[in-house]
Amino acid sequence: MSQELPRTITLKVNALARVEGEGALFIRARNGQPQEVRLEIYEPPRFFEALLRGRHESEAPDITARICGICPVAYQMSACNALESLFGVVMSQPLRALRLLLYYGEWIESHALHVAFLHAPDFLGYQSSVELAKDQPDLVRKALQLKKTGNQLMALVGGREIHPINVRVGGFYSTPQPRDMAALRDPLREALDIATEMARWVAGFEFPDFEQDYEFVALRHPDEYAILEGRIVSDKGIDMPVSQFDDTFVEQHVSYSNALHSHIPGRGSYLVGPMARFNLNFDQLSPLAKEVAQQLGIRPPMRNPFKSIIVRMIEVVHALDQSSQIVGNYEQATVPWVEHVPRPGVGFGASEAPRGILYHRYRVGADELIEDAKIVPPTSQNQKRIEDDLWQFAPQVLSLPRDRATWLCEQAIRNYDPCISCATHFLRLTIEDD
Amino acid sequence: MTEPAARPDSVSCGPYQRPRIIGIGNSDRGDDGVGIWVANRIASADWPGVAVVSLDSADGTALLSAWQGADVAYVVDAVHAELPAGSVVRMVVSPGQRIGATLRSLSSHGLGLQEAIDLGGALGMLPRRLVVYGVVGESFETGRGLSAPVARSGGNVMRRLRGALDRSTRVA
Repeated sequence: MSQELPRTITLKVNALARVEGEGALFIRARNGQPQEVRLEIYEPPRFFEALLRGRHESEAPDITARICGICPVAYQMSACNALESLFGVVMSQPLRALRLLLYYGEWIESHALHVAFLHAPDFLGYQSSVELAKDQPDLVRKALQLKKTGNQLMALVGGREIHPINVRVGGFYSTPQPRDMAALRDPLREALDIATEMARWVAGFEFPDFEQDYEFVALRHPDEYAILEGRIVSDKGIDMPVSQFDDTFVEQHVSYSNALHSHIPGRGSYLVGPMARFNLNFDQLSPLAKEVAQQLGIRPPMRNPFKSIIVRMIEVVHALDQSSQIVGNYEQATVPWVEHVPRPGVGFGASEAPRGILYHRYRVGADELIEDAKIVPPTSQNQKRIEDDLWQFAPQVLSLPRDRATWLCEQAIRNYDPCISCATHFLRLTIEDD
Repeated sequence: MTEPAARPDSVSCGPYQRPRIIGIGNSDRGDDGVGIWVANRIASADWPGVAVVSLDSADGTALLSAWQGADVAYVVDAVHAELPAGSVVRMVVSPGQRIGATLRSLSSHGLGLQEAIDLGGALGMLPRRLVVYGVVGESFETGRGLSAPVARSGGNVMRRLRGALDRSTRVA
């Protein structure tokens, strides 16, 4: 298909749909080549880091959980990691297993929401999940069931589905009764079948031919597919403790966005999230998740961001498989938290939120109050990478009719499942031809 | 359009079909929290014969679970509309109905109230009777409480809900 391009094109999406929060995209191109790409995050900043100053250290998990209704557990876990590392808390194995289960619940509900309701419609030509539901109601009902299973895990371990209230520094306020845990066995088994079916479904989509040379960054744990904690690693040589995060990754303000852009000085953007985790930690996926990936012909390195939808479903299979094991082996801890003595200093923590590494740093004073806090969410880290993708992807689509080009650019953004509320600490799309 | 009084809701209130009152919004963002404010007060007052669900910062699919199994559900949410702050717009929703023509849900999430209603219609997952009370907000700043007109309207919505429930009980 050859089509004469107008000299200047502007694509504008003033309110990006099917993303969490509020933002916009602007692309200006000349002779088919982008001249300007701006991912504009206009959701106002929320100043959570300032809000934390002067608050007692024990409040950090619950305050930061309020940053996001989709990934509150990630905030709780990263906050706890940072403070527990400062206070020298060593989590008992039963409590650590409960934290894993709570976090798996969040991965399942977040990934299920994004895959079925926000991203799949892009690939199938639907304007929304509502049209998908009209054509494939059984599949959408199953996706809802899958999401609900994740929510059940969060409700049981975290006390409620949204903004859990049962997490504290050192463990939990209470632990679930074995009979309540046993009631999760059948739902988890059914959800695993659904997740496997959905993984096959998304693997059958048509994907744009688009591969990039990313620097993948994720946590790496010695014994498991990292979620709760680990060292920060990349495929281009990073291997360091979380305490060195600020030495390697730099946040930068850009005039058109209320969210900071992260980059690696001298190297540029990097990618966090499911594709980075899959590429760096594939060997640690559960045997069943690995088997599903292999059946689908999915193996590292994955460099096509549009295929991240498949990786998300493989991660859901992994999360359900691991959750079934935790539930099957559950024995109620005799003590729901590990006693600890707060001490002054700086604590660093990171965990793998559904969208990637979530970094927290706290300085706590002798009075046990937080003197300083820094929070770097995954969408902030991926923002520059999303723009870089669009710089490379736009030339492929600018010759297409405007509606189609806009559609594909929005789809490229949704590859990252951006969470704008987290990042402002963000979406609308504008493509402009000069 | 601001309605001074709710139309009677003719519903059955048997023990297995308790009406559900669902508040949705974000309690950290000013007037966006009015649905949560109403739901929490009704839950605290322990109104008999009604189940209350508070969906603070939830995505729209959570609504499908919240009204699942209910014959009648009332949803309270903050909305944008070309009306004075605190105005209450009441809508009896039918499958396929667009509430967006007059109201815009404020959900910052990928799916909002309209999408939940549309999904529920497509999947046959709507209550037999679904009534939405939309409260027009004016301030949505993080960390702020409800504005004075919206707080007054929250109380007004509670009285209207109480009246609707009482009438439905008499009908039953």
